[in-house]
Amino acid sequence: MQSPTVHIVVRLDVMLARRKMRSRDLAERIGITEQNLSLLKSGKVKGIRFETLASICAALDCQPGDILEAVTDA
Amino acid sequence: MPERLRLQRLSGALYWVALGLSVLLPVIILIYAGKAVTDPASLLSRAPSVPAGTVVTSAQAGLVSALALVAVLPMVAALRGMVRLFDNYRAGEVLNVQNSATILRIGRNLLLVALFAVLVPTLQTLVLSWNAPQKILAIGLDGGTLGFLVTAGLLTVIGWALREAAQVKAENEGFI
Repeated sequence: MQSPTVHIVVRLDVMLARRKMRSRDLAERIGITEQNLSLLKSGKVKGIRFETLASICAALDCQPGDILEAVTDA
Repeated sequence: MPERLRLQRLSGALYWVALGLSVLLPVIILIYAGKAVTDPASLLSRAPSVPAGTVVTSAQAGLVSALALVAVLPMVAALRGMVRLFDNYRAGEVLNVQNSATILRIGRNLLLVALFAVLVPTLQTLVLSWNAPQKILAIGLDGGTLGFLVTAGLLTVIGWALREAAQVKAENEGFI
């Protein structure tokens, strides 16, 4: 029996809205470009470095689980 | 990034050297070929194993010159590859799959240079000694030829390693 396919969804928009922070401000605080942050938000990246994840968590005062979610494909 | 600057600066100089040689080399061979066709006997001075006084026809001289032109083609191709490579390096494009493919092509061309360095003089001597009482087939392998073989092997390995590095870099670029 094949195990279900799981993919990771980035919930950065939700956390940004909760913290009432703009993408531009977050990008500035964690030291990445707005373009890269936009790619991250849309999930168009292969992965996220621990260093970037830690910076985002520090800036948004949250846990990695608040930003990333494992979703099982139907 | 001083390493990158150094690489770009040296590649900029080597680009012009490789470009110049890729143009000069065929021109020099063409001049020698023209001289050989107009004065076929002059070829004997460059083939000590062929007995002095052997009659060399214009057709033989033409064939020997044509072989010399064919022999220079892989070197010109290798130099053209170097021109492309140094052009990319001086522009700051170092680790990409295209450059590793170019290095592999240069390696293959240098392997041909080594093979032709053995085969072409052998054939040229055979052609020149065609009218001699005894035809001569002299195969030689010198240090220069071995050097080209080792360099070809080295470039092939470096090309593979760079392809691997370029793939790792491309994968790394997918991470934020």
